[in-house]
Amino acid sequence: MALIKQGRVLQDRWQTAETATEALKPGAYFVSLELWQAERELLRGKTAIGITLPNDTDPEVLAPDLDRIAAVALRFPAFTDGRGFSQARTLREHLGFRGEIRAEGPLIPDQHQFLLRCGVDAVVVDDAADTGPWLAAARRYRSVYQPAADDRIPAYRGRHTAPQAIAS
Amino acid sequence: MYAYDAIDRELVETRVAEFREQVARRVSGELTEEQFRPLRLMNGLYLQLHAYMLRVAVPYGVLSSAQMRKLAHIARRYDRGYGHFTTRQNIQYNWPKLEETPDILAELAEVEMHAIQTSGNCIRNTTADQFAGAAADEVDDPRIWSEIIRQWSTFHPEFSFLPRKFKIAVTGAQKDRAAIKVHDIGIVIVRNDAGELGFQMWAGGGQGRTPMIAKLIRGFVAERDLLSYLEAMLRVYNRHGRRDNKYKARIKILVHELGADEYARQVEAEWARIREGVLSLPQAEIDRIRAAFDEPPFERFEGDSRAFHGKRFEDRGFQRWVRSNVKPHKKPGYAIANISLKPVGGIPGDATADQMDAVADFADRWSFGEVRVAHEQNLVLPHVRQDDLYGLWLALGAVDLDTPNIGLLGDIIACPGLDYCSLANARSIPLSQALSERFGDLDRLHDIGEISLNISGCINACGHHHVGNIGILGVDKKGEEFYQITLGGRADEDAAVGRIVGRAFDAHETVDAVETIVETYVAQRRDGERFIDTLERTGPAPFKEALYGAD
Repeated sequence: MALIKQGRVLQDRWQTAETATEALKPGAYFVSLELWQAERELLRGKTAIGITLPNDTDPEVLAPDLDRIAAVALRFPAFTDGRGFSQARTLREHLGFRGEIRAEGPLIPDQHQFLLRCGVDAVVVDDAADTGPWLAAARRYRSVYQPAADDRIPAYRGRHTAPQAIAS
Repeated sequence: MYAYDAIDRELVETRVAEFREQVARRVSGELTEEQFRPLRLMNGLYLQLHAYMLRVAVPYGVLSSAQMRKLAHIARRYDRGYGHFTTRQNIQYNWPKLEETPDILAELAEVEMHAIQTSGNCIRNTTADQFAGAAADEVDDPRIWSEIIRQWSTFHPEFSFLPRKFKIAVTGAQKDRAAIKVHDIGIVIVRNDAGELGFQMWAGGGQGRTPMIAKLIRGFVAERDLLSYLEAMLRVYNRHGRRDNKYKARIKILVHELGADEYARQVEAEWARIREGVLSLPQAEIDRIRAAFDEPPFERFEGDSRAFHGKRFEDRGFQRWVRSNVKPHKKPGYAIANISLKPVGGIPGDATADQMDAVADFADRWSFGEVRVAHEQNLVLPHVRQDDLYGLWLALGAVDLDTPNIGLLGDIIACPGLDYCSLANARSIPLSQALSERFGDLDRLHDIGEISLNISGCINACGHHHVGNIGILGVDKKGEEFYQITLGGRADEDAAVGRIVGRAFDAHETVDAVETIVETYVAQRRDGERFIDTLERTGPAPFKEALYGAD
């Protein structure tokens, strides 16, 4: 799979671990929430751990562990299922998570900017996918009407703030 | 009226360019219909029974004369010379060509209009009282708050893929003309005991197959907290609204299943985390938007116009029109003039391009260039001098827009039904036309008095049959069209869902059944009692007996 991150298409270095064993080689692994909760101590020794969060799960369950995990993967079962957008914002804005949040599933390029605005910073796409529309969609709209997990100034504030104040 | 600044313009123009690319990819075959579907739906483009349908947003039902002329131009140039005004204060074109839709959106952008979020599972066009800024019973102008909500909800990154479509309505008056209690969120502008302006927040109203009246979620939200409270309400819904069953996905089911208290508790918990943040509205922005809706330069009059009352006395036709179509204005010497789009035997809500142009001209001449769209599928000139009403009435007559039936039985709300819609079970338009003909005698119509008659061609209830005093629902019985009648629905501040009166009728019998219901009312009514008052006093028994006989 390929990863679209920070305006570039990268090869995904992360692997998925189905079980936690002492034999797990150092590397970056995504594990299920259940596996993490069952094998926290065993998994902590690995270099980087990411957790795959089902889209009906409250991100608050990760609150005690956020300083121990490097990434969260949000599973979108369909592009029309927008729960992941709220999960991403909760992770960023309420829980202050600074690691990678990646979106997986049958998303469409036209959602890219919304994903970025909600705090998702990487999208997993098929190796064969045409990434052109994804990259174009990420930067399409220059202004925004509402605050989100990015630092963009919503129009209702920007209109009344001097430019230097926005920068500071 | 609100005028776009550079930010508003850039967003709408970017959307037009984006959609032009998407249509080009569809036309070239690069996108399949399946891939194109979500994209076109974000721009109000539906695939109907016979053709595409484009739904254009009329934010909170407010149009300038220039915008109305543009709508007329689009009807003429890109469609078949007419448009259909909807119960969500929007306008629909039934015959646009796919390749031309980007041009239509570009033309709309020229007059600061768009089709953004007029379909799809997102926050739809916010609707409001069509008498905003003109009504005497107004606490504050709902257009100000609707425009603030319009901006916040446009391209909302978190709430563009909700479990289901989401509709917000705002009223600033004591009498609810915006049907806020049958919306996903209904907002009533109020003053608290300290005299501060704020909002009563209702949620979970709706129609469709499970009609529900909204519940009060919070009695007072301060001005600056409007967006943070809305965001909390939407976030709880986005996370917990049902996605397993399309028919249970609206917020009304969530509020019902959790209970209003528990939903409110979750909203409050979310709100506590966000209310002091960037979502709190700066006073400067409230002031900026409020200034956009400043009063037009009204003339000062001491009281009612004597010439106007003289004309009412002299001309019976004018008097009849005034009685039903003219409503009191907050300023002495002014009036609100309603333009019925329900001519006898006509299609509810349809207007020709020529009629739209004429209304734009009348607005320029007599109403400071302002037009409103009412959710009852009519138009409104909000600020007409009483002295000008007679001239306006004559001018309306010349373009067949003078039907004196606002609020009366001929003022039927109907969805497009099986003539256009792929969801419908039955036709709505021919039945509405037949009923309109049956009650075509205007004297009789005025004698019957205030009554709402709503027709939906299927349980999705686009014709709002649940909240019609008389509601008619098209059902399919083994391939035949039948109609089920409900009584006692209302969409006002005492909103209620109508109750089924008995077995369904075929189209022909339905017209007779409505006649029977009306005759029963006329026989039962006491002085000055409206249909709904009589029904509430007697209960449905006399009506059932008249329709089906004693059991």
